[in-house]
Amino acid sequence: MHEPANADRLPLMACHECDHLYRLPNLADRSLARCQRCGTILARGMKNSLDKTLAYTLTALVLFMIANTYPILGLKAAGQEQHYTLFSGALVLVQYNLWEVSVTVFLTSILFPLLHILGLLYTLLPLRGARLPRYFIPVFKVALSTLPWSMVGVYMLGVLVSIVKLADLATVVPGLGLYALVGLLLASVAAAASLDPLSIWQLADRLRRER
Amino acid sequence: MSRPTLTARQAGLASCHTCHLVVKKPQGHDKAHCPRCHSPIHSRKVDSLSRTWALVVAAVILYIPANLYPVMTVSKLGSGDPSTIISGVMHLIHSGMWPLALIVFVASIVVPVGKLAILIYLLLSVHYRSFRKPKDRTVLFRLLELFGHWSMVDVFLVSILVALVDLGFLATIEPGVGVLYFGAVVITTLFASRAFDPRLIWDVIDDDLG
Repeated sequence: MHEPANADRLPLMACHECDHLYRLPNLADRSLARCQRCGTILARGMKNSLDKTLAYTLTALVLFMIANTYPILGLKAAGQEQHYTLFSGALVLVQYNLWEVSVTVFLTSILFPLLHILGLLYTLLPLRGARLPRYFIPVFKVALSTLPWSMVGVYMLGVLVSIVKLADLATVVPGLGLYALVGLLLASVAAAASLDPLSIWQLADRLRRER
Repeated sequence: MSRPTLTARQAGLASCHTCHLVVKKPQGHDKAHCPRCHSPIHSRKVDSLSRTWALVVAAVILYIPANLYPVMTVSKLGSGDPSTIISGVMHLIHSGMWPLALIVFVASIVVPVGKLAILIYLLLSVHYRSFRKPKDRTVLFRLLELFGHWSMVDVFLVSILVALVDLGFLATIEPGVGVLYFGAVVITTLFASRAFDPRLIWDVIDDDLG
């Protein structure tokens, strides 16, 4: 990164992995600013980041509700059939006195993804109309901090492995919930890729000062 | 290093951990908060090394029962077959599902062991004020954050299998206490890598040059 002419008017930015100080230039669409010392991505330039994030997050919310309503997998064996949903899968280990594991599964596969989605909608929908929601700061912090603990992708891998493991035991039937879960995974990945927290903080700050 | 670098700390500044706003570094025991997002401001993560060490040691200890105890027992027609994390991966390899077996092998064995090894290496390198390849060590840290949570796959797998194979079928699957320890290892190492501050790798070098 080279210092542009109007450097002193650009915001300061310190690399969060090596502390190198920069003046952050305005980035072109689909461009990255990397730390020249350690290579970390400092910032991303993106057009319509807010609109894209909102669109993907709304999609994610719908798919989240479907994934939580309908069965993920069903099992057919000896003339019987049974299935499980996301919630019953998280709950089942309580019966075996492993409630700590149940809570972990519930948080990482259901509650944190939901809080992330709702937190983004609460903060970004009003921002899009140039309005600062009342509890912007705490809610946006929740939305950001629940992202690394939302493990829908890892959960999908667990579903894949369980299908393989059960293949010689019974017939595994994918449920509607499973398709919604795949969609939810794709929508969350797309939403996370278009979210630019830095520009959101800057926008909120500007709106607060104008108020 | 060919050109001098200026870090936020050398400039008397600190950046907010939450929103990355650069502000004046708090002096002494001052409690400063970010004017933009109200998070506490610290130049470096507080007690990073001791917190990371504590979590790493805890994870190493938990890793022993996590591999000794079965994570689940599959019973077919009355005879039980307990499986541990490692035997579960072996079973997948023997079933011939190579691509999936490889992913699970990486997620449930390579990732937790690698994570602990990398964290211990990073901690020691900062402790002994190493100058070696700081950029590569930063990349190692980035890998921890990228892949750390994939080991949760075993915990999800057990909960899915137990929920699905329930009541009155030809087979039953019961969870074992191993899954509790393994889950604890995953969570502890996730917290450990979040406690580590990669800027400590560079501080050693910056202190010497500046």
